[in-house]
Amino acid sequence: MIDASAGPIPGLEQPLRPLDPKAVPAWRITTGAAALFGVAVWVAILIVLHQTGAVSNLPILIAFFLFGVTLAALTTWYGPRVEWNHWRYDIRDDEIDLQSGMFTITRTLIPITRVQHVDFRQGPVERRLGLATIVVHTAAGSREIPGLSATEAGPIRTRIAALANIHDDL
Amino acid sequence: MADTPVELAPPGIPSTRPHPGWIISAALSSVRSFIAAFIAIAFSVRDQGIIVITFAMLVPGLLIIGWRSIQWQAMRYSAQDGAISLSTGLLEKNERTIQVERIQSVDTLETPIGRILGVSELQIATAGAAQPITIPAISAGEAERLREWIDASRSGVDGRSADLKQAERPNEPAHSTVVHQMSGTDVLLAGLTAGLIAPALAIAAAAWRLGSDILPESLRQRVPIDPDRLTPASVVALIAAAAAMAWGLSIAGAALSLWNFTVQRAPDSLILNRGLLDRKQNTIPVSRIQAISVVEGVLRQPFGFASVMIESAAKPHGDDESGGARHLFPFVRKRDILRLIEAALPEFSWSDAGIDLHRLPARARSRYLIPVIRDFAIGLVVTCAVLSWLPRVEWWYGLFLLPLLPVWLAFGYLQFRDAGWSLDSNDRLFVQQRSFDRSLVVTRGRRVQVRELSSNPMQRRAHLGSLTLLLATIGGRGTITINHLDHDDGEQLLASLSPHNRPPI
Repeated sequence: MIDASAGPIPGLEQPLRPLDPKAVPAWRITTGAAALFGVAVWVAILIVLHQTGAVSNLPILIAFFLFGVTLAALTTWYGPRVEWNHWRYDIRDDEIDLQSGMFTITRTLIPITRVQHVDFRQGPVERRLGLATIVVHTAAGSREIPGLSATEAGPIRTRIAALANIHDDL
Repeated sequence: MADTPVELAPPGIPSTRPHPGWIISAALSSVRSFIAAFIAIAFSVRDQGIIVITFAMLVPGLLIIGWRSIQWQAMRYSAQDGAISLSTGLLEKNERTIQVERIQSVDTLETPIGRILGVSELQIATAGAAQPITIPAISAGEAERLREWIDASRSGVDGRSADLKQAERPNEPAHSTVVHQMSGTDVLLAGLTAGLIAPALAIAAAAWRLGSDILPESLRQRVPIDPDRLTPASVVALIAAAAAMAWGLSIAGAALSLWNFTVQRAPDSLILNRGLLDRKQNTIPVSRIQAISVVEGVLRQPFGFASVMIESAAKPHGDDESGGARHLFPFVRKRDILRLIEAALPEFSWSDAGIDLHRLPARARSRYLIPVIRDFAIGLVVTCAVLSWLPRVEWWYGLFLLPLLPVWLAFGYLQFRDAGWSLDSNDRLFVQQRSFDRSLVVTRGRRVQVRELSSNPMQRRAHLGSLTLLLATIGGRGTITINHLDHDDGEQLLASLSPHNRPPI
């Protein structure tokens, strides 16, 4: 794992703050919706295979169907949990520090002076659960911090905006 | 440097109309786009005598000139109070303003007609994909005045960062000097080694369209392309002819766009001139250059040639150079590169002793080679499966792909061997990487916008990671990637590029 095995490098302390635990159910709802759609597509493919006679063996079709449903269920249940476990963030005076990912774990560092603007975003599921997403924009694309509690996200955005209000020579 | 008195900005340019030459060049371009209509009119009145024909031509011509004159009346541009603005439009007024400190590049384009009329088109670009301001016609003298005004207004803006300028440009040239001029031979060689796939595809598509659209049906039936009688010799001859044509076109394209390519260094900016028919001039402030990259194409590297590109956040004029990069030196000998960069952009040069790049650990080699073998195996199986499905061919014909595996593996190995990076005490960052072409990116640590270090489960097992550094450039060329470097090295580089660990500027 990424965790400090060789001790912290100066200027590269591990980010510590986890996301709001309510992010897990929120992501389960959104992942579940996508998984339902995936299962529907999978069923449609299986029906076509059956109708065209490419696969006429019913037990095999049922096995394929169950495989799809199991995969969707596992992804919906464990995916958000694993991602939440990997998510860490920190807003330091000079840098924004993020760690995220499910299989591939990515550490992202953005100097505060490079931030051009900050968005506060709330989807319908997030609003219901009292969550929000912060989007940090730079001249080279944007990065998100999802699953923050809405009460916390407001001050975080204000803090980034205040810290970033420095002359930038892009 | 800090003691230099701030020059008073010249008064600028009050609200002005573009050069009236625009009416003629714009009218001509409308005539060009309605040429079919003109021919149709002439054709329909061809029996009515010369007076009627002239009249039939003249009326739409005058209408177009009248329309362009009215449009011209409504156009105004100005350069005042640290901003350039352009207003256009008759019914719907449209005014755009660009602050001088936001300007990324000033480009002029001189078409053959414009040269006769003494006007060129001037484009002022800002960062990002936003449309630039285009002054459609401006005389050479006026363009020069505008550029001087921009330079003067900007040095007022940059004045407060004098220390930064001092730090970044230790040996800044005092006045404008011509650094490099491409010879005719170089233009020819550049076209010859430009890479074959893109022009070959373009040729094939064009030839096919030509064949299906223009050639009459009867003639096409006489062309002896009968799949049953196609001999290997005729296939080879056809491919050779297509390749020769692609090469010819590539050379012609290079001649048109790179003719008389000249690089000029002014105190604060680079001025690039090029083109045979359409002459282009790019003025790029040095402080806006995010990085340069030395690209050694597969066809050029063995002969010791390379090209040098400039990466900036401005969209280049026209679409001939994709991805926000411009040629700084389109075709140079490798041994001349350092000397030329030293003269044109000392901010991005390196020491005579070369660059001491950190390399990847030996255990990263398999991470480069295994995906190659895996993808090749998948490709082989799919090919054989498709062949076994087809009539008249055997599945084992697919095995003829096997001799390609060593070539593929060699590329994988070269990608491993060529990857490397270095960050010197001057905050200069060098990253070498290879896809097919080998490229060396030179930038400044403080130019890096976002840094990312990622590791998938396979990499974690070998304590490796992939580092991505993003620069503020258009398109993907500003993305610097080092795949499968030692994870500790990656963290070290992340930390060295942290604002926390760099001395305040």
